[in-house]
Amino acid sequence: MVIVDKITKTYNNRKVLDNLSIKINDEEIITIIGKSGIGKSVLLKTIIGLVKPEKGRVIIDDLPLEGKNIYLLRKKIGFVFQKSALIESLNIGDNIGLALKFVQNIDPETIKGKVIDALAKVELKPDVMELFPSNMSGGMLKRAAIARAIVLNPKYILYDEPTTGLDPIVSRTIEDLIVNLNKDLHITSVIVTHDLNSAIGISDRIAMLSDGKITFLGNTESFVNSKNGDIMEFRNSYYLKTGE
Amino acid sequence: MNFAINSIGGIFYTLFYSLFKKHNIYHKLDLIVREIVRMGIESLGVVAIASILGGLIAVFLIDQRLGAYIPDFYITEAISKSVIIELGALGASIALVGRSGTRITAEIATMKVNEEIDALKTMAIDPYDYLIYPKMTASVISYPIMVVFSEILFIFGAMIFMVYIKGFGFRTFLFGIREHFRMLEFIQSLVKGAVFGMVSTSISSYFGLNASKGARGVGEATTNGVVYSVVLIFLFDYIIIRIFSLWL
Ligand SMILES: Nc1ncnc2c1ncn2[C@@H]1O[C@H](COP(=O)(O)OP(=O)(O)OP(=O)(O)O)[C@@H](O)[C@H]1O
Ligand SMILES: [Mg+2]
Repeated sequence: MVIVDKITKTYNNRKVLDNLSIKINDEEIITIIGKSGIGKSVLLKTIIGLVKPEKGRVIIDDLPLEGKNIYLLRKKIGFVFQKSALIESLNIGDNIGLALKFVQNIDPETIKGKVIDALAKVELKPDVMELFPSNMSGGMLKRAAIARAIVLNPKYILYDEPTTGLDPIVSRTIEDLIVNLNKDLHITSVIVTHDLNSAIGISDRIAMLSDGKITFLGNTESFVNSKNGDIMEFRNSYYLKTGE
Repeated sequence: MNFAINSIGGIFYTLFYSLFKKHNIYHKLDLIVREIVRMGIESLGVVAIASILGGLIAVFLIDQRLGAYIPDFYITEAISKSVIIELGALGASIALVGRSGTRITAEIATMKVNEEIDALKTMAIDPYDYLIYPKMTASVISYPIMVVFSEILFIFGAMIFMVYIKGFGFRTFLFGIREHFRMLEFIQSLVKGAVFGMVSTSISSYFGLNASKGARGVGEATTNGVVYSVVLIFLFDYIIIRIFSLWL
């Protein structure tokens, strides 16, 4: 379980996260939605210790995310970056196998097997191992980034905008992938997105981030029926834009 | 001022943290070797040209200003001494900063801006461990090698002038170099190379790691890397010659 406990993070005198608390249950898919620039990525990065809040703390499986624990806890968490953030100088195979080599000290043959398995899970063929990130499409990069996270058998995966900027078909495969990883491998998933359809389609719970706080948290049904002002505004503008 | 103090602190943190952390060298041998080869190949040209021209310039000036007062033989001594005591190590290191140091800063800064450094951290990979330590180890080896290379070419440049322009005997020239060679001075130049390498590589890495977002961040980091490297190389040069002056 991940407990985010009264976190405050300020950038340029603006409290991007303001005394924010949220609990993430094991084996759930929870989606955090909110306007662009509201602090969704900052929240996600706080959960893995990339962003250090001024106040509050994060507790993962009863351990506070501090000091030596950070290193331990990161081994349980996969992170899929908004812009994939694969290492440009390494090919996809080396990218996915990197932590297996440098953290887990596994031999090259075993690494290769695990990399191929991970690629298969995200529906990529073994030949992409030789490709470099700069030669791949956005959808392939996202999938490779997910493969890099799942190859380490994490208990949690944090996805920052996993479907943004992708066409509906690729988006759909990635959504299915997230759901399957959750069902088959029992991976707890925290997804940040402003894709409302995707949020409603795959989440167990949805949280709304607005003005540094979680202003709504509930299951998809209560989200769809909510009369909360923030949510109505978000829903209306979303459907206006997508024309649904 | 604040920035300078913070930077110096950060640079020494980078230096000592990467050096004294427990590392598995065998694990990173391929990264280290690759970096040595890379530094060598990319800097070879600039070090060669700078050194040969440096030799020509130094010997021309000594000859022009002092040629009338001292025998040619002493010109050879003056050049070989100044090259081995000072010019070789300094010249090669500054050239390496310009070529490899800037590349290292730009490379790490770009990784920072693209969140690749953060990605390493999320996989529990320490960027100091994976990125900086191999570069640091490589520079401790490749800087001294380039220093020796530079010393040879400096003297080669001087020889071109002495032998082909002044008509000085080739054997006499070589004899002059050998006659005044002192092992400890040569070792001093190797020590300088190793220290300058460590210092400038930790500087380049520090500014890369702390680059601010955006393309401007990469440019600023690279500039800072060069400025701080040059200044600290001169500072450490002074410290090293003071230490060696106890024996020399
Ligand atoms: N390292 C940083 N330095 C300064 N400001 C930052 C930093 N990181 C984030 N911010 C600021 O914090 C705010 C929230 O950023 P964040 O990236 O979390 O937004 P987001 O909700 O993920 O938006 P998007 O949907 O566009 O990705 C922004 O105003 C941003 O400018
Ligand atoms: Mg974001």
